[in-house]
Amino acid sequence: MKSVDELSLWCDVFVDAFHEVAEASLFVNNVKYYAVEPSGPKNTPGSYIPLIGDSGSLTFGIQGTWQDFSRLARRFLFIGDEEDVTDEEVVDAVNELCNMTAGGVKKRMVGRDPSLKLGLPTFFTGSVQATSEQESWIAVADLATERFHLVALRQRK
Amino acid sequence: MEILITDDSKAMRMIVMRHLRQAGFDDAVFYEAGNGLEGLEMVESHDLDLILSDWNMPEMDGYEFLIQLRSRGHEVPFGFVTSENTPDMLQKARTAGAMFLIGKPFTVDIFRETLRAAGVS
Repeated sequence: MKSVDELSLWCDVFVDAFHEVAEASLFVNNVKYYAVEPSGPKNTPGSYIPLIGDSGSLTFGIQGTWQDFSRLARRFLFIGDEEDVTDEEVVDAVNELCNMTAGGVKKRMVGRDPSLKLGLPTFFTGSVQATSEQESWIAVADLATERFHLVALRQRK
Repeated sequence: MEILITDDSKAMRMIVMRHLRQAGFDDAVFYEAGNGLEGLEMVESHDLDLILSDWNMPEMDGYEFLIQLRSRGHEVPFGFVTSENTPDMLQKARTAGAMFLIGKPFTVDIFRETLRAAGVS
Protein backbone atom coordinates (compact mmCIF):
# COMPACT_ATOMS: atom_id res chain seq x y z
CA MET A 1 0.00 0.00 0.00
CA LYS A 2 1.40 3.38 -1.00
CA SER A 3 2.13 5.97 1.66
CA VAL A 4 0.45 9.36 1.75
CA ASP A 5 4.01 10.74 1.48
CA GLU A 6 4.42 9.30 -2.02
CA LEU A 7 3.58 11.60 -4.91
CA SER A 8 2.63 8.56 -6.99
CA LEU A 9 -0.31 7.85 -4.67
CA TRP A 10 -1.68 11.36 -5.20
CA CYS A 11 -1.17 11.01 -8.95
CA ASP A 12 -3.06 7.70 -9.07
CA VAL A 13 -5.92 9.41 -7.24
CA PHE A 14 -5.69 12.46 -9.53
CA VAL A 15 -6.08 10.25 -12.61
CA ASP A 16 -9.00 8.42 -10.99
CA ALA A 17 -10.71 11.72 -10.14
CA PHE A 18 -10.13 13.12 -13.65
CA HIS A 19 -11.59 9.93 -15.10
CA GLU A 20 -14.75 10.40 -13.06
CA VAL A 21 -15.08 14.01 -14.23
CA ALA A 22 -14.45 13.04 -17.87
CA GLU A 23 -17.20 10.44 -17.71
CA ALA A 24 -19.77 12.52 -15.85
CA SER A 25 -19.18 15.97 -17.30
CA LEU A 26 -17.49 15.43 -20.67
CA PHE A 27 -19.25 12.16 -21.53
CA VAL A 28 -15.99 10.42 -22.43
CA ASN A 29 -15.37 6.97 -20.97
CA ASN A 30 -12.36 5.74 -22.90
CA VAL A 31 -9.65 8.12 -21.74
CA LYS A 32 -6.13 6.75 -22.09
CA TYR A 33 -3.35 7.86 -19.76
CA TYR A 34 0.40 7.65 -20.10
CA ALA A 35 3.22 9.23 -18.16
CA VAL A 36 5.61 11.70 -19.80
CA GLU A 37 8.82 13.41 -18.75
CA PRO A 38 8.14 15.70 -15.79
CA SER A 39 9.63 18.67 -17.65
CA GLY A 40 6.33 18.88 -19.54
CA PRO A 41 5.20 21.26 -22.25
CA LYS A 42 6.36 24.89 -22.32
CA ASN A 43 4.25 28.05 -22.43
CA THR A 44 0.98 26.16 -22.38
CA PRO A 45 -2.42 27.34 -21.12
CA GLY A 46 -3.59 25.56 -18.00
CA SER A 47 -5.65 25.70 -14.84
CA TYR A 48 -4.07 25.01 -11.44
CA ILE A 49 -5.49 24.53 -7.97
CA PRO A 50 -3.85 23.99 -4.56
CA LEU A 51 -4.74 21.23 -2.11
CA ILE A 52 -3.08 21.77 1.24
CA GLY A 53 -3.03 19.68 4.38
CA ASP A 54 -0.85 18.24 7.12
CA SER A 55 0.35 15.56 4.70
CA GLY A 56 1.78 18.16 2.33
CA SER A 57 1.17 20.99 -0.07
CA LEU A 58 0.16 19.98 -3.58
CA THR A 59 -0.86 21.76 -6.75
CA PHE A 60 -2.87 19.99 -9.44
CA GLY A 61 -3.20 21.30 -12.96
CA ILE A 62 -4.72 20.56 -16.34
CA GLN A 63 -2.73 21.85 -19.33
CA GLY A 64 -3.73 21.80 -22.97
CA THR A 65 -3.77 23.74 -26.19
CA TRP A 66 -6.28 26.53 -26.53
CA GLN A 67 -7.93 24.59 -29.36
CA ASP A 68 -8.40 21.51 -27.18
CA PHE A 69 -9.63 23.61 -24.27
CA SER A 70 -12.16 25.27 -26.59
CA ARG A 71 -13.50 21.87 -27.64
CA LEU A 72 -13.61 20.81 -24.00
CA ALA A 73 -15.58 23.95 -23.09
CA ARG A 74 -18.09 23.32 -25.89
CA ARG A 75 -18.67 19.80 -24.64
CA PHE A 76 -18.86 20.80 -20.98
CA LEU A 77 -21.18 23.76 -21.61
CA PHE A 78 -23.27 22.11 -24.35
CA ILE A 79 -22.28 24.79 -26.88
CA GLY A 80 -22.85 23.71 -30.47
CA ASP A 81 -20.38 24.14 -33.34
CA GLU A 82 -22.57 26.88 -34.81
CA GLU A 83 -22.25 29.01 -31.66
CA ASP A 84 -19.26 31.02 -30.55
CA VAL A 85 -17.41 30.10 -27.39
CA THR A 86 -15.77 33.06 -25.68
CA ASP A 87 -12.33 33.09 -24.06
CA GLU A 88 -14.02 33.67 -20.71
CA GLU A 89 -16.20 30.59 -21.18
CA VAL A 90 -13.14 28.50 -22.04
CA VAL A 91 -11.23 29.65 -18.96
CA ASP A 92 -14.28 29.26 -16.73
CA ALA A 93 -14.94 25.72 -18.01
CA VAL A 94 -11.34 24.55 -17.62
CA ASN A 95 -11.13 26.09 -14.14
CA GLU A 96 -14.31 24.32 -13.14
CA LEU A 97 -13.10 20.96 -14.48
CA CYS A 98 -9.84 21.45 -12.57
CA ASN A 99 -11.80 22.34 -9.44
CA MET A 100 -14.04 19.26 -9.73
CA THR A 101 -11.04 17.00 -10.31
CA ALA A 102 -9.18 18.37 -7.28
CA GLY A 103 -12.38 18.03 -5.26
CA GLY A 104 -12.39 14.38 -6.30
CA VAL A 105 -8.81 14.02 -5.07
CA LYS A 106 -9.78 15.55 -1.74
CA LYS A 107 -12.81 13.26 -1.44
CA ARG A 108 -10.62 10.20 -2.02
CA MET A 109 -7.79 11.32 0.29
CA VAL A 110 -9.54 13.09 3.16
CA GLY A 111 -9.77 9.81 5.06
CA ARG A 112 -5.97 9.75 5.20
CA ASP A 113 -5.60 13.46 5.84
CA PRO A 114 -8.70 15.13 7.33
CA SER A 115 -6.93 18.50 7.30
CA LEU A 116 -7.01 18.80 3.48
CA LYS A 117 -8.23 22.16 2.20
CA LEU A 118 -9.05 22.98 -1.40
CA GLY A 119 -8.18 26.38 -2.88
CA LEU A 120 -9.63 28.20 -5.87
CA PRO A 121 -8.43 27.49 -9.44
CA THR A 122 -6.21 29.88 -11.39
CA PHE A 123 -5.77 29.87 -15.18
CA PHE A 124 -2.59 31.06 -16.88
CA THR A 125 -0.23 30.28 -19.72
CA GLY A 126 3.22 29.09 -18.70
CA SER A 127 5.44 26.16 -17.82
CA VAL A 128 5.71 23.99 -14.73
CA GLN A 129 9.11 24.40 -13.16
CA ALA A 130 9.74 22.37 -10.00
CA THR A 131 12.40 23.63 -7.61
CA SER A 132 14.77 21.35 -5.70
CA GLU A 133 12.23 21.51 -2.86
CA GLN A 134 9.46 20.17 -5.08
CA GLU A 135 8.73 17.05 -7.08
CA SER A 136 6.51 17.04 -10.14
CA TRP A 137 4.59 14.52 -12.20
CA ILE A 138 2.96 14.90 -15.59
CA ALA A 139 0.77 12.48 -17.54
CA VAL A 140 -1.11 12.76 -20.79
CA ALA A 141 -4.87 12.22 -20.72
CA ASP A 142 -5.89 11.27 -24.25
CA LEU A 143 -9.62 11.75 -24.87
CA ALA A 144 -9.24 10.76 -28.56
CA THR A 145 -10.42 14.16 -29.80
CA GLU A 146 -8.43 16.18 -27.26
CA ARG A 147 -5.24 15.66 -25.29
CA PHE A 148 -4.43 17.24 -21.96
CA HIS A 149 -1.50 17.13 -19.57
CA LEU A 150 -2.36 16.33 -15.97
CA VAL A 151 0.18 18.00 -13.72
CA ALA A 152 0.92 17.44 -10.03
CA LEU A 153 3.47 19.36 -8.01
CA ARG A 154 4.32 18.50 -4.41
CA GLN A 155 6.43 20.23 -1.83
CA ARG A 156 9.10 17.87 -0.46
CA LYS A 157 9.04 17.56 3.32
CA MET B 1 -40.89 28.22 -8.46
CA GLU B 2 -38.04 30.72 -7.99
CA ILE B 3 -34.54 29.29 -7.63
CA LEU B 4 -31.29 31.12 -6.88
CA ILE B 5 -28.06 29.56 -8.12
CA THR B 6 -24.94 30.93 -6.44
CA ASP B 7 -21.58 30.02 -7.92
CA ASP B 8 -18.54 32.08 -8.91
CA SER B 9 -18.38 30.09 -12.14
CA LYS B 10 -20.85 31.31 -14.75
CA ALA B 11 -20.25 28.03 -16.58
CA MET B 12 -21.31 26.04 -13.54
CA ARG B 13 -24.42 28.20 -13.03
CA MET B 14 -25.43 27.39 -16.63
CA ILE B 15 -24.84 23.68 -16.09
CA VAL B 16 -26.78 23.59 -12.83
CA MET B 17 -29.71 25.37 -14.53
CA ARG B 18 -29.59 22.90 -17.39
CA HIS B 19 -29.59 19.94 -15.01
CA LEU B 20 -32.48 21.40 -13.02
CA ARG B 21 -34.55 21.88 -16.16
CA GLN B 22 -33.85 18.29 -17.19
CA ALA B 23 -34.67 17.11 -13.68
CA GLY B 24 -38.20 18.50 -14.01
CA PHE B 25 -37.79 22.14 -12.99
CA ASP B 26 -38.23 23.46 -16.52
CA ASP B 27 -40.91 25.94 -15.40
CA ALA B 28 -38.75 27.47 -12.67
CA VAL B 29 -37.53 31.05 -12.75
CA PHE B 30 -33.77 31.14 -12.19
CA TYR B 31 -31.71 33.87 -10.59
CA GLU B 32 -27.93 33.95 -10.43
CA ALA B 33 -25.36 35.24 -7.96
CA GLY B 34 -21.57 35.07 -8.13
CA ASN B 35 -20.91 34.76 -4.37
CA GLY B 36 -22.61 34.78 -0.99
CA LEU B 37 -22.78 38.57 -0.75
CA GLU B 38 -24.61 38.81 -4.06
CA GLY B 39 -26.78 35.91 -2.92
CA LEU B 40 -27.84 37.78 0.23
CA GLU B 41 -28.87 40.77 -1.90
CA MET B 42 -30.96 38.48 -4.11
CA VAL B 43 -32.67 36.95 -1.08
CA GLU B 44 -33.75 40.39 0.11
CA SER B 45 -35.27 41.31 -3.24
CA HIS B 46 -36.91 38.04 -4.36
CA ASP B 47 -39.34 35.54 -2.88
CA LEU B 48 -37.18 32.48 -3.39
CA ASP B 49 -38.29 28.86 -3.07
CA LEU B 50 -34.85 27.26 -3.22
CA ILE B 51 -31.18 28.25 -3.08
CA LEU B 52 -28.41 26.13 -4.57
CA SER B 53 -24.93 27.32 -3.71
CA ASP B 54 -21.32 26.45 -4.35
CA TRP B 55 -19.13 26.19 -1.24
CA ASN B 56 -15.80 27.78 -2.24
CA MET B 57 -16.35 31.28 -3.61
CA PRO B 58 -14.51 34.60 -3.26
CA GLU B 59 -15.90 37.49 -1.17
CA MET B 60 -18.31 35.28 0.79
CA ASP B 61 -18.31 31.49 0.57
CA GLY B 62 -21.41 29.33 0.53
CA TYR B 63 -21.11 28.27 4.16
CA GLU B 64 -20.99 31.86 5.41
CA PHE B 65 -23.85 32.69 3.03
CA LEU B 66 -25.97 30.02 4.72
CA ILE B 67 -24.99 31.16 8.21
CA GLN B 68 -25.85 34.79 7.37
CA LEU B 69 -29.11 33.72 5.76
CA ARG B 70 -30.30 31.80 8.80
CA SER B 71 -29.12 34.48 11.23
CA ARG B 72 -31.33 36.96 9.36
CA GLY B 73 -34.32 34.68 9.78
CA HIS B 74 -34.59 33.39 6.22
CA GLU B 75 -35.74 29.77 6.18
CA VAL B 76 -35.67 29.24 2.41
CA PRO B 77 -34.56 25.66 1.56
CA PHE B 78 -30.82 25.64 0.88
CA GLY B 79 -28.55 23.03 -0.71
CA PHE B 80 -24.90 22.95 -1.68
CA VAL B 81 -23.62 21.98 -5.14
CA THR B 82 -19.90 21.69 -4.58
CA SER B 83 -16.64 19.88 -5.17
CA GLU B 84 -16.31 19.80 -1.38
CA ASN B 85 -18.01 16.45 -1.25
CA THR B 86 -16.71 14.86 1.94
CA PRO B 87 -18.62 13.44 4.95
CA ASP B 88 -17.27 16.23 7.18
CA MET B 89 -18.50 18.91 4.80
CA LEU B 90 -21.91 17.25 4.57
CA GLN B 91 -22.16 17.18 8.36
CA LYS B 92 -21.06 20.81 8.59
CA ALA B 93 -23.59 21.79 5.93
CA ARG B 94 -26.45 19.99 7.67
CA THR B 95 -25.55 21.45 11.05
CA ALA B 96 -25.70 24.93 9.52
CA GLY B 97 -29.14 24.26 8.08
CA ALA B 98 -28.56 22.92 4.57
CA MET B 99 -31.03 20.32 3.33
CA PHE B 100 -28.60 18.48 1.06
CA LEU B 101 -25.22 18.53 -0.61
CA ILE B 102 -24.77 17.54 -4.26
CA GLY B 103 -21.16 16.72 -5.10
CA LYS B 104 -19.53 17.71 -8.38
CA PRO B 105 -19.44 16.08 -10.86
CA PHE B 106 -23.17 15.30 -10.86
CA THR B 107 -25.83 13.92 -13.16
CA VAL B 108 -29.46 14.85 -13.85
CA ASP B 109 -30.53 11.73 -11.94
CA ILE B 110 -28.59 12.85 -8.86
CA PHE B 111 -30.36 16.24 -8.99
CA ARG B 112 -33.76 14.61 -9.43
CA GLU B 113 -33.26 12.06 -6.63
CA THR B 114 -31.68 14.51 -4.19
CA LEU B 115 -34.38 17.16 -4.64
CA ARG B 116 -37.13 14.57 -4.41
CA ALA B 117 -35.63 13.16 -1.20
CA ALA B 118 -35.42 16.69 0.20
CA GLY B 119 -39.08 17.27 -0.57
CA VAL B 120 -38.40 20.02 -3.10
CA SER B 121 -40.80 19.94 -6.02
